[in-house]
Amino acid sequence: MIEGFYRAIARLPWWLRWSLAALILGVVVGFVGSVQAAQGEAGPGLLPQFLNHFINGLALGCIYALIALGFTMIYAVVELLQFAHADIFMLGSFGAYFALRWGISNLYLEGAVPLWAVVVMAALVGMAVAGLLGYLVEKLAYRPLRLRGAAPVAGLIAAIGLSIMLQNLANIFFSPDPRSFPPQSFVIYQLEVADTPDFQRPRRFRVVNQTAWQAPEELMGRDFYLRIKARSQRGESAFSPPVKVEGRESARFIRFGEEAQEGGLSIGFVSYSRRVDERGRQLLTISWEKPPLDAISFPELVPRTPLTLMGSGVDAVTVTPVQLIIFAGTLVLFLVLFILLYRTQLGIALRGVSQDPMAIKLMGVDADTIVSFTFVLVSASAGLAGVLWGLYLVQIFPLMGLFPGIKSIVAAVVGGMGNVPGAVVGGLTVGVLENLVKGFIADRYSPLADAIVFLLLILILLVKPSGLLGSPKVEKV
Amino acid sequence: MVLETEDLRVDYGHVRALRGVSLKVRRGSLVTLIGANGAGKSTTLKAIIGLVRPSGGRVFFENRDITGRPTHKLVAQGLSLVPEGRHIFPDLTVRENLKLGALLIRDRREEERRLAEVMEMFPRLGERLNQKGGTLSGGEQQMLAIARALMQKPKVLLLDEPSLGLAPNLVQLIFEKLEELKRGGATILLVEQNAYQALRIADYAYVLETGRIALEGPAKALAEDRRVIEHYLGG
Repeated sequence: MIEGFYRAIARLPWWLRWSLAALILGVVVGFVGSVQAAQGEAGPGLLPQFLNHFINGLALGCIYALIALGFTMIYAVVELLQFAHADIFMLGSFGAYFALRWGISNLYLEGAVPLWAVVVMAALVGMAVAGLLGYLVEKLAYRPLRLRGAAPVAGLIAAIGLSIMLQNLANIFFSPDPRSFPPQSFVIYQLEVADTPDFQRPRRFRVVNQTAWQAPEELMGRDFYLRIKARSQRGESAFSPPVKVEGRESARFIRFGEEAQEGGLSIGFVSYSRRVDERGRQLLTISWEKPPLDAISFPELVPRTPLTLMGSGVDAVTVTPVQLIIFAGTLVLFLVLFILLYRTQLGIALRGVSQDPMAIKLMGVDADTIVSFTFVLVSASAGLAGVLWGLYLVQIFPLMGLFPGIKSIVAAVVGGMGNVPGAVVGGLTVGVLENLVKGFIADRYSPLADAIVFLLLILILLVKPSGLLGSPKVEKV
Repeated sequence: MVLETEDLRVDYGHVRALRGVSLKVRRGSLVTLIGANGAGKSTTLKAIIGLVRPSGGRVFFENRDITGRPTHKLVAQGLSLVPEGRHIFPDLTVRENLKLGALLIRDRREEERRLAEVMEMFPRLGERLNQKGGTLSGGEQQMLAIARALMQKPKVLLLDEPSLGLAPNLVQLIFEKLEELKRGGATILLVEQNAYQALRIADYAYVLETGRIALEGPAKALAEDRRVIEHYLGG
């Protein structure tokens, strides 16, 4: 499939290839270079600008590389362009989002784990969710096709269908609106209920991120004391003053004054009301005011303050902590991957499957197991990419896989489809080119930025038709 | 009998490749299956080791019915195939190819011991351990394919046309190695077009014609059979 594409380019006559390449180069320089030369007067110098765009490009490129790894390895092992891989990337970030929202954040707010552990745990959950999805996708969608010996195009259509399905399921279940990542303004409230105003032996109820609470049945018709505790971001807690809930009263609104503040926080009012529902049951609802958001919103998982590498003022070359995390995460994942591929028997077998699936069976290995393993591995990598993407661009949404997906496929093609180091080189190339073009292009041409990036990638293929690290494949007999 | 097929049949769509093949391989013997192109020799081996699904008949290995079992499980039980066309892994080094042969061995020292054994048998491979499989010559690739199968210490070694496409001196070399293996007590089922060489080293032989066994007997006797001489020995 992709080999045909490479061959088609290679088959162009050399003079056509090179003149097309020169033409593209001319167009790109015309759009990007000349305009910038006129602009660069009062702003930052050209070199710091270049370095900053380059660093941003490397960060983006790392994420592309993590996704492109999947396209390239799945293609190597089963000759399938796994379009839904981009959606596994998306679902990985949603997995981390919900894990943060439903559990991990609470662990931090309750002081059980430090902040860095929150980041690591979120990444691991994202990887696990994505890995599991990758396993299921292969098992349920692609394996049945493969075992029936379906034509390659059937797999491709299945992949596209799967991608559309996953996107729309995510739209239905998660809503198409972007969500901030990590989930913001998390507050844990603890309600303490006691019979006496000194709160000896209170009963505690926990409410996450809501400002209303339905009292359990045994509290109906009784007098009791109640106070509400919120946790601040530094881990200190604030109580509302005690409220006496009287069993006979139907509703009450209590506003507290300034003196109620404690630990910099205040819960300004508490109210309760009773009503009788349609089945005749009494309901007691207690609600309270949300403390000021900035006081107790969940802290940035990663600080935003950029670190200066060199220069100062407008000429500063900076890197943000998130970018450092992206570099570190990508580096660790690829190191582990290369050790696995080149130093373990499983890795050798995995490379073997891509070269000769029949012969691998003769080595006593179930080829299907290796294929499953590959899908889990690369999907987990896409999951990590999803979490890093969320941290980097601070929002996630169901269609977020679309553009990174396309660019990662292009990255894999440019690097040399089927070649693992090629995915890294291709990903970084696409990321860096994208940032440089977007950074230097004049504002009125900016809608053309992506087109120019793709032109540059075509240029690379015209010069080296088998991709940057690809070798022209020997035809299989 | 360590390996036995009983009325084995294979259909490729409407083409009947095997129409009932029954053969027996005794432990420690070298049995050869000769015949013309398309007679079904390779198919027989593939059906034995589960690469194609038989449409009828049965295969017994160590008196157990293994018909239609998946290939990787049969390999784990002690059947190894050196496939036609060698099928080494071209982008893996010679060492990695051999390591894959020993994939099922958990014990590292045992793996090293077998590696030393096959390198003693094929010194040429020892010199090229870090070279990629695809860069070897045809003869070396064939040696690698055999060595890779021997890493599995198979109870029965199935060989599919090991001399195909090799220069005469290399053909000679490969057959010498097979004799060496036989002397070492290996059980071998050899599929060959080179009937002369195959009959020379085999104990027992089957002649396959259009998916059926046309003749069988001790190799020495078949080598002197008039029909065999006419059809297969270019007599």
